[in-house]
Amino acid sequence: MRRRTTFPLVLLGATALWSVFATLAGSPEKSYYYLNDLVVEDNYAVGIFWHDKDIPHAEKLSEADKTLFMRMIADFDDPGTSRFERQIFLGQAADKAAQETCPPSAKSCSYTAYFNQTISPTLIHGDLRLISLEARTLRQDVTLYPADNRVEYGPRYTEYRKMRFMLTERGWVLKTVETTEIRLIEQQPALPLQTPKMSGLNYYPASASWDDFWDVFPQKHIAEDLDIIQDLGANAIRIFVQHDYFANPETQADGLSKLNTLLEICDERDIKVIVTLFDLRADYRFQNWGRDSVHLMTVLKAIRGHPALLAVDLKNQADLDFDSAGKANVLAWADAMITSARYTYPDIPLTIGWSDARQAGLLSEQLNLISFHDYHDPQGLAERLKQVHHIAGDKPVFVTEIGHSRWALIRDKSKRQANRLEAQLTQLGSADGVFVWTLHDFDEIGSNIVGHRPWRKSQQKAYGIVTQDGERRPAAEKFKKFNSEFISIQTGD
Amino acid sequence: MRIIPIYIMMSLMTVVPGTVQGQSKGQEGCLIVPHKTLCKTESLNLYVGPQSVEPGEDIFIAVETLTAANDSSQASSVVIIDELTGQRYEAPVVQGLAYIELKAPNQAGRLTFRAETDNVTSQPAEVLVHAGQAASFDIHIEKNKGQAFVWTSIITDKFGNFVDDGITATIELVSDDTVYASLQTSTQGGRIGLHIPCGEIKKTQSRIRARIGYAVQEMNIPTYLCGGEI
Repeated sequence: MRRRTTFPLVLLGATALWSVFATLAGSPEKSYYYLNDLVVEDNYAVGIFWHDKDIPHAEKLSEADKTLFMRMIADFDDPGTSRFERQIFLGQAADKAAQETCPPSAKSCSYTAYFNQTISPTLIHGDLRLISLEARTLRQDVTLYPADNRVEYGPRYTEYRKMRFMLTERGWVLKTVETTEIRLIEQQPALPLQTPKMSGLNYYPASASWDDFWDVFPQKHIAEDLDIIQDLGANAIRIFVQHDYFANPETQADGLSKLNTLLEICDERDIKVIVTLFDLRADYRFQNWGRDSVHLMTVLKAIRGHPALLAVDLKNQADLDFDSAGKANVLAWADAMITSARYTYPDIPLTIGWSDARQAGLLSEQLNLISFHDYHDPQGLAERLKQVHHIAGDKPVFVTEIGHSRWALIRDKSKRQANRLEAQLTQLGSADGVFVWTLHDFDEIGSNIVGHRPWRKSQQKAYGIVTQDGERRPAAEKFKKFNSEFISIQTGD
Repeated sequence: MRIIPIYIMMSLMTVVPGTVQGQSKGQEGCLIVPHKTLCKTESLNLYVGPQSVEPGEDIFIAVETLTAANDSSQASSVVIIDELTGQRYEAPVVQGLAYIELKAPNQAGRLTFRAETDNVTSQPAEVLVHAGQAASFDIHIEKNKGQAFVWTSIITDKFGNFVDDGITATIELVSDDTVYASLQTSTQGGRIGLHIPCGEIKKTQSRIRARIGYAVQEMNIPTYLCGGEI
């Protein structure tokens, strides 16, 4: 369902803050030297993977050492960081870091975004005086134009670098960073996902939606809900992985375990799952690509090859952030995440659930299935679907959100919901997948989901086609009838 | 719908080389290879450690070969020289680093290493090889100034190196397999020497035991040593 998060710091639109002593509204007494001074430190993992190698003295490196090296590399790679004050660079590395400054008067500044970076030790001095590492990373060249807050994204490469750390009286310092090889990535069009017709529901349990889902994870309710979904003749669900829960080291393992449990419960019922990532995260800055890539890889690693996994939806309604974050930035981020996922897990089908059919052509070459949402007037939906099919070519097209709220000021509009859903479904016969929003109503809707307006929250609470007691509303019957015909088309029953 | 198995997607994501320059001579003293210019060596950094070792322990030596810009130079090998013995060790340079591991010699002393390549020499780096654990010594006791004086011969490690000054030694007075007094001293000039008042020594059969590291020597205390006091 749609999300209207206004990200408080649209940092890429704030590059003018590079200038010395720029101030922010609300904290006029505070000065910032660099863009990244604005970024609140969090406890998420550094956006780099460490890969141990069986080389002499490898056992002498502690986990703390490895983390320190990765943090120093992240600092080095992070454009705009106040790295010079941190005194962690020496010699050639310090010189290179200095070249990365963007003086306020500059017409443009060139940076490099690194993501999906893997670090391995190549030489460990037996006395731990010197450590040499090699890095394999995806690299995107970025040009900032401070005057008009514009960002341009250049070619994408695979880059191999060597890095050398030296132990000094003040601890480890990064002494050398050198590129040893660089290759341009030319990503070929993704192949169509091979899939039977899928019909399902966007799913949260009634008792634990959005932020609460993975924390509460009411397994008994989930199993009961999936039985209901199966009884409705559906064969799929679309779920949402909240970024914060799965990226936070304190909750990550719990989240991944529960995600696999959910896939298992679905697999027992032969229900396929679209896993939607980066939910409730509207931060597309290239400075975060490394960490986002780690988050992506962490989840993909946990679910790859699971028989219940149908596809990964990289970002729910990313197009709704075009205005706040900038279309180019959102698309560059999405493209980078696609590249990152493909690079490591090429067999996981990818899609992006655009909020509108008119956006369905975006990045369609790189996606394995095309998906969009439709909350417009049902009249014309068939035509919109046809247009998307035309764009998608031989790739399957899923309409991953349709539905209608029963909410009205005077009384519940269950019949109107059913009629409208029926009107939508009757036009989706040529779709390869249809997902209704949603199984249940929700008692609470956070302001981070649909904004502060009370009527929006009320609308959002009342999309369920089944009551919290499991009783089917008229819309559920329409959906079941649709499924009995729609799914049999593909299977040839 | 045309169906193509998912598993061949990987092969379609190709990685192709970017702009590649041919190998050629560029600016003076530099070699241009794909994506990189390797210039001549201007300096060598030598990292030797640990700073002190015992005979037979590992000495780790790394050499950075650097250009004037502190990038890795084009050097393909370096020679590491042990100036004491004149021994030369050639080591290949990989990604701007050469690395060797040596065993410390059996003879204690100060080692000095240098690295050389392309007529560039590093600053020297030193390693102190000190004696290992005490391995052998003799214990003696005699009367001196009215007291029992315990002393040892030169204490050496298994390679004959004098043990370092300041090594803790324990002198125990033993009777009937019971240690009834324990005193500590430390080595100086490769020996220990310690006065024990006769009053501290039991009149019954007593032995004296010296422990230095894992090495132990003991002997009976002669009854005449403290004269009529025993």
